[in-house]
Amino acid sequence: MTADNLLTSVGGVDDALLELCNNIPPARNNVMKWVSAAACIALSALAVTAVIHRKDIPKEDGTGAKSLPASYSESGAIASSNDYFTSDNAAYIPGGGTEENRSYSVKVDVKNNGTDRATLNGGAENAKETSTENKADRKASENPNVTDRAVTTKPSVAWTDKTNAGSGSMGSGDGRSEETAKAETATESLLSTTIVQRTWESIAITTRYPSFTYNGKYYTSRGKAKLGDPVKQVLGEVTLESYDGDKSRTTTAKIMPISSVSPDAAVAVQFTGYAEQFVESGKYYAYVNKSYSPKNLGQLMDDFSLKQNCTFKGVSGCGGDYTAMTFSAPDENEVWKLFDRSAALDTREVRHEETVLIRYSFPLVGYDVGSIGLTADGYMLFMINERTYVFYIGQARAQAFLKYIMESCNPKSLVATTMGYTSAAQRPETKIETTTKG
Amino acid sequence: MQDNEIIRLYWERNERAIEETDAAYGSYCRGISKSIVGNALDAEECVNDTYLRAWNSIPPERPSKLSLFLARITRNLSLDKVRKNNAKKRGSGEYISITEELEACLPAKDDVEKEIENEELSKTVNAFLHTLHERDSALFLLRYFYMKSVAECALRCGMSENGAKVKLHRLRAKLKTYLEKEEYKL
Repeated sequence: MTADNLLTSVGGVDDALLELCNNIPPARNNVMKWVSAAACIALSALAVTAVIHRKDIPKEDGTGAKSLPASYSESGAIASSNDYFTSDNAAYIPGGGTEENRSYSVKVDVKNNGTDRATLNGGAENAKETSTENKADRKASENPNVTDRAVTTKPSVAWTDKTNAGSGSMGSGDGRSEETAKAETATESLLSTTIVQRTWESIAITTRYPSFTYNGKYYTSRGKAKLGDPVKQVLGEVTLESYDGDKSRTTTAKIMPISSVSPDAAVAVQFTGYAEQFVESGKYYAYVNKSYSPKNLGQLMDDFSLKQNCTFKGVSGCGGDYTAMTFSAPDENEVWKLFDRSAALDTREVRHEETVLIRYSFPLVGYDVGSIGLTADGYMLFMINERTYVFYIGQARAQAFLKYIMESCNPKSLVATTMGYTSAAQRPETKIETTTKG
Repeated sequence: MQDNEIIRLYWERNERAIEETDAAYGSYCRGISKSIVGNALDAEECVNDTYLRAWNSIPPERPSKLSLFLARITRNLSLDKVRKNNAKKRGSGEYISITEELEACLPAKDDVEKEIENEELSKTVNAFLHTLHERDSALFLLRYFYMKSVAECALRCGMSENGAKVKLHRLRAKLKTYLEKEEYKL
């Protein structure tokens, strides 16, 4: 086995793993880092507290007990004017010591009454309060703007978090560090290597202005459609907006109906005031209503005048026994038998696996080749207006059509070749050319 | 346009499929190829070949995720390109053409055996990656599938470059142990 073998074999990993690269999970060690940081802070706080509380425990050399009364002794009995306490190791003298030092744990035998215990507790509480106040005062005296600073540094932390989590989003904040800025620049430079921009003048007008809203409907471009005779009626004018980088661009256009097609489904657009390349004076462009939603198949047939405008080109098999098969153009009447006018639009989000695709041509709205999917269980998937409309036409109709094409439409299987699958007899010779952007 | 609609265009044998693929995944494929071959011209060639390969594979294939399907093709073609470029650098033109001629005489069995071995190795690597934490798998694949620079891997995984180097070193060591356990000779 060579390194090259290994590298090649990495190419065979499954999709689930490759998907991880597009959605990298947040760093586990970051969570651990925060947990351990919190634990460290807590431990440090405990340690500091312990030190603070222990510092006035008298040492053998006498330091640390400067405020304690002279009657203190390391162990054993303590004598004060009124009270007696005994202890194993250490002792607490009520009313003695400094203000900070009264909360450590001591083992006390109260030989007098309970009043001294009350003094002890109260003393400890006071000491704590004073201690907190002192710390706050100290902080305030060191830096009166400490609260403001904490607020201004927060965005910086948030940004770093985002970077650590592998998010590509570009946050902003006054407190961004130099490192963050570097990371941002690096991200931008990486992105800039993959984005190729075209100039505004070099792109087609329908690409410059890909969409507009008219009468509350959202229309998108279908390129230059073969609209036939000019449509005389002008429905209205619309201002189309777009962006050339950061620069806002607008143009006006006339909206006209496409003959025999409902304006609710698609309209013709004539741009005004253009004499540039790609824009031929007087030409119309088809824009389809992407929010178009017919009630049933009958309405779709009427809105597009399908019987008048649609021609069927052929059938491709893509599921079940029909996989990798091609068929010649079916008899149009057989295809129309599939169109159950009363079939309601199915709006459920269900993935259907088509058994065959019927290719159609509808140049009036810019579809030189479109397709109608048919499933063996009776669903028709009509792809038009940049969307797929699903209708249940019944299993019997679907099965009858599938039987018809298998018997009468010259079925041919695709042939495996070294480059994949092909059928030279069926497939038109295709020269694929891709244009380089820019 | 969504994946299933682009795939449908392939099934319809509609040449717009190529345009739509280029619009949707052109930059993505070029990015992968450029990481491997190292220059834009060769990358462009590989991407064009990717479209041709996709055109010839769909139908009958119906990839569930078009981006990953294209990524695999681009990667394989780009690796082939690098191998060819390296071979040309190493030997004279005649040597290359002669070995290419002789390759045609090798019994087909070798290729089949090699393919089976590669497939087995691929399964093993796949199984190994499933044993890792998801984040580690992603780092490994960014480096050895997409062939991104260590700096970019680090950036995408939200770690320092040095951290990524150390992590990758550990992952390679783990893979070595795993392969040895699976009785692969290194």
